[in-house]
Amino acid sequence: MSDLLRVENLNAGYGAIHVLFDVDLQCDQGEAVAIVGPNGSGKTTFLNSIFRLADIFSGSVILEGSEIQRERSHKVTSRGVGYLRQEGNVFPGLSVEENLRMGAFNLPKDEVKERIEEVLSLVKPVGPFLRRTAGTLSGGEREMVALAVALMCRPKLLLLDEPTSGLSPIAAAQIAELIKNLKDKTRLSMLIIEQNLKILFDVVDKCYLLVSGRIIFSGKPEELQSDKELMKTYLGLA
Amino acid sequence: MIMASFIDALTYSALLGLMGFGLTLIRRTTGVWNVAHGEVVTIGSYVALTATSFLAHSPYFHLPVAFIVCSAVSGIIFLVGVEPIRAKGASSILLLVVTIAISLILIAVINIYADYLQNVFHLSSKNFLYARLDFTLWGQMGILWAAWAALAVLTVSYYLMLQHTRLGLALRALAEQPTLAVVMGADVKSLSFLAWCLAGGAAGLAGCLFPMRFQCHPGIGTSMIATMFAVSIFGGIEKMYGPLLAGLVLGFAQIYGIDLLSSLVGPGVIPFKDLIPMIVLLLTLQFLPEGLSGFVGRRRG
Repeated sequence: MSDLLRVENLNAGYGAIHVLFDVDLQCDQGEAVAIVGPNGSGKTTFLNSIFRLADIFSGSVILEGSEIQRERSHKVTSRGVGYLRQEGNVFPGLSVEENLRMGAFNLPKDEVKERIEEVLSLVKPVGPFLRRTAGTLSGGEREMVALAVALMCRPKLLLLDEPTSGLSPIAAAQIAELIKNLKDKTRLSMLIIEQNLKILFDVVDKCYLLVSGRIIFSGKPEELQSDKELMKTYLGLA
Repeated sequence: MIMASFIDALTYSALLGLMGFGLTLIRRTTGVWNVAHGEVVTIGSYVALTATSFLAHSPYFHLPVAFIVCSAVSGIIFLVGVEPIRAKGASSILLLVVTIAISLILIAVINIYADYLQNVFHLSSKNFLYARLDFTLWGQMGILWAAWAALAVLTVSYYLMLQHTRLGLALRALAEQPTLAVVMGADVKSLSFLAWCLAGGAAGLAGCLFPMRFQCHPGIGTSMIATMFAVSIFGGIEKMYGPLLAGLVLGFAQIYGIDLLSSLVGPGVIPFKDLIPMIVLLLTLQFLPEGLSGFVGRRRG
């Protein structure tokens, strides 16, 4: 497999606040990579850095061989990166269909309708509430819409920031199932932050453990699971 | 007398609607309270004065020029004054202060320009009115029809743009979740610039039409900015027809309210006519914070 995303010696943060220190990460074509770690370790900042929503102090973010760390935020999407943010991931005052159309902002106009149909076939539960205003949906429904919206730009790489956070166990399981299906049915690469590790370990090919802005482990999920010390100290799992 | 007041109220309402429209568009799309919007209106009036004086046509011919000039001024205000500070994460309060500073700079520039016109070309640039140049249609002055036509065309075309174009969708998305709009590929800076230009254009039309019925001077926009804020807040940001409704209510409230008060209390109250929109503003903030359009939307919803 060739690498889709390579991050080298990334130092990033917000203004004077330094959050990430010399982070290296690689995500290959069709691979699902998890970034795990305690709260405040810099996981969301890492995803934000890819979109330049955080300040990059040094290091490189290389997508398909070209550096994108100096690219303006809105141009990253047209490079084939979709981002499902943890909060504020739908436009509450717009209808679900308008949200989907907005997700396809960078696609040619004549492809939007076709792409909506494609995405609805991947994220089937969204179909029935296309006409509803996104702000009126339940948390689980909204998360599914957000996932569908993130898929609209035909991403090669999908960034998922805690997609099951704050959801009921049933809704979380539905989202996890959708992500699993996406991985099975498409060649989509995914970078996932998720607190619900039990869901994650079934889906991902590789894990990075981020602690206080530094990567302290990288390897297969079963290797992380077998390291009882790391699991207990940083992830609270015995 | 009654008819004159009615026509005044109708015309004033439409012009207020046009002014509030731009303010609402900026607030809705970029979240900035633009105090300098008043000066953009004044610049529209001075475009009318300059073009009418030198080209000798009716100010109506110069509406497109006023639209373009004021769009450009508003766009420059955004690019040079607001955006660099907004990009550093400034709060909306700080951006309001920035627009106050820009407003003061523009007041000085407008006054210098008015002095220049007066001293060099001997134009009556400190007080001007073009009612004599107006036409009549169905027994009424043209400004009445022109102001309402401009407001209606603007409201309908902006509504259609916002609801039925990709650009409009992006502007609405930007108003709701700017960061998410960026993540989806919308160029927030360009969209915000566009919104400011369109808002400036609306202010330019209002400014260009204003001297057809009302006395103009270098401080006209500045003196009306609080009323424009009242229109924007009372109209709400939910729908683009908000300023139209609010302009109508406030325009009539101001003109008829002051007529009523002066007949009850005496003509001494007339200089305080601008207090009527301020009272409406305070009442709106207390009892109808989402404004007229938000209230209508809630009732329908």
